[in-house]
Amino acid sequence: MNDAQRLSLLKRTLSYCYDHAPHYRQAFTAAGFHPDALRSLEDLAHVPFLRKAELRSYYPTGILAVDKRRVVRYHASSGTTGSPTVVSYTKADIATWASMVADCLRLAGVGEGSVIQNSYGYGLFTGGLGLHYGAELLGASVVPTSGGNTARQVKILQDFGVDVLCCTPSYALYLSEVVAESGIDPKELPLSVGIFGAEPWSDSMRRRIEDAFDIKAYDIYGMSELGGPGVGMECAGQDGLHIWDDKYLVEVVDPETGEVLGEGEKGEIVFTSLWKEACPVIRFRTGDISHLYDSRCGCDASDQRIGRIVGRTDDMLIVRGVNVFPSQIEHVLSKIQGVSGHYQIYVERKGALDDMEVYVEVTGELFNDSMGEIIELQRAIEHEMYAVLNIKVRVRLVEPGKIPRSEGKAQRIIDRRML
Amino acid sequence: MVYQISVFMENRPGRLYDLTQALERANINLKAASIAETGDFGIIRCIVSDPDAAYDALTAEGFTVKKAHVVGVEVDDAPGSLSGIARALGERGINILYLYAFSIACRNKAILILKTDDIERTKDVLATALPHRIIGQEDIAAL
Repeated sequence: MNDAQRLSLLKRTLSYCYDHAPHYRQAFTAAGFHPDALRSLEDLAHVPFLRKAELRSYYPTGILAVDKRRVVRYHASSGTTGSPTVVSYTKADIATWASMVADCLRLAGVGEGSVIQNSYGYGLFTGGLGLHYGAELLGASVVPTSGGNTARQVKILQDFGVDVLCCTPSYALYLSEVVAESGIDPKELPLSVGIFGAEPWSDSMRRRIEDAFDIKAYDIYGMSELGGPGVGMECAGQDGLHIWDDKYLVEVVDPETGEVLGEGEKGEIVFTSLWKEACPVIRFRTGDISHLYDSRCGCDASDQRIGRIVGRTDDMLIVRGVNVFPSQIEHVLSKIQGVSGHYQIYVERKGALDDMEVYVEVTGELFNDSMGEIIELQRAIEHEMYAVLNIKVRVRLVEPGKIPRSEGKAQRIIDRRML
Repeated sequence: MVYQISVFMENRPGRLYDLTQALERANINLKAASIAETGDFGIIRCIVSDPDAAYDALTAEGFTVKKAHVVGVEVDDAPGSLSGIARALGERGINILYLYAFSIACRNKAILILKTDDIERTKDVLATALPHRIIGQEDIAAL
């Protein structure tokens, strides 16, 4: 797709947002911008950014540009405190999204006759249903195992002739270990392709997964705010994520100043959707750090290509594919008696899986010599964390004053994962 | 009446030494101690020569400390002594939460430190029904 075509798509999108979504009309007006003023793709720099906090404020409908009755589906991702960020979809959105995912899968050689085990979670999380619709559109056979129940996952991997596995990379590695423990060489499985995403991983981890199963492992990119998985995908060259250029405009900006950076420069990735009806995103600050490639890949997929995500601008952690913000943990602790507000999060890879432990300082006020009550306190915190974060967290109670205090910003996160 | 000092402690090497050092500096003698633990933390419970001084010394060192009543009872250092107590309490529906004991070999006696769900009734039962001598903090100090 050439720049003139993309410019016309962008114009159409901005006018659509201005006309249909009160949020954008307000934001554009406040910034002194009108869609008619757009002359080139570079003019996008005059359009105000959209931040996650703004999206979150539109709970529970999402930042709607259509009548609520046209919404056919909602998804949500965890929010930084109480409310999750909701995204909604029209019928057309679901169809476009499915076609994007299908295009991604096609890049990995998946097609009719492929048997896909989809171990992404089905539900509010976009991963499961997103991959599912794309795979079905492609005519592949889908086994919708969703997440969890590893014994059953392994059995299906063995029994269904599964040749494509979709899940988080860490879960793939874990599955390979469980298969090996059951006395079967994972290489002997008919698996040939892995589509992995929803959490950061590295090339060395890719090699470990590829070696374990004897497969080719592809990185797939997505984010619920952008529509879900399928926003971008690696091609067989495994060098950078191709972002569909008729679906998104990607910019890289300086996270501090918001200034647009050039190709090759590392910064925060900013997305503008060119296809979304229900919840369009204009200049959405993803918080993901990467760069735009200045070279062409040579494959048939789009020329718009970003590097692997190398970090975050905020303190968001991705643990087992789930977004975790320290503020969520703070929120949980603030409601529990007998603990101070001081805590530290330790994340490690135990075997293949992320392991998250939260050190929580007891205040001593409630200490009454009963082991049972301390254990009860520990369990209550773990239970609350699970309810809010949706992942299992181990809580370790420590003595008052034992969490290091720092002068400036407290070091809340100790991430020991070697990705 | 006997006072017990209990301390919430992280389960890691060297932490007990911090505690014993604090007691030593305050010239406090440990008469009996027991540690209950889970993987991450433990509670050390001890009977000391001077509970008030121990409480102050440990609190000053930043420990999470609790001073509370437990029952101290003197029994014969002979087979069946604990059995009789366990039976007497059990029959009356009194639950033992934990206990630890030490013997005074020269006197053929043992001291049991008991924590139950009803301290007052426990003292009653032990002193009247069995009967045993309930010891006080002054007995501990004299040991």
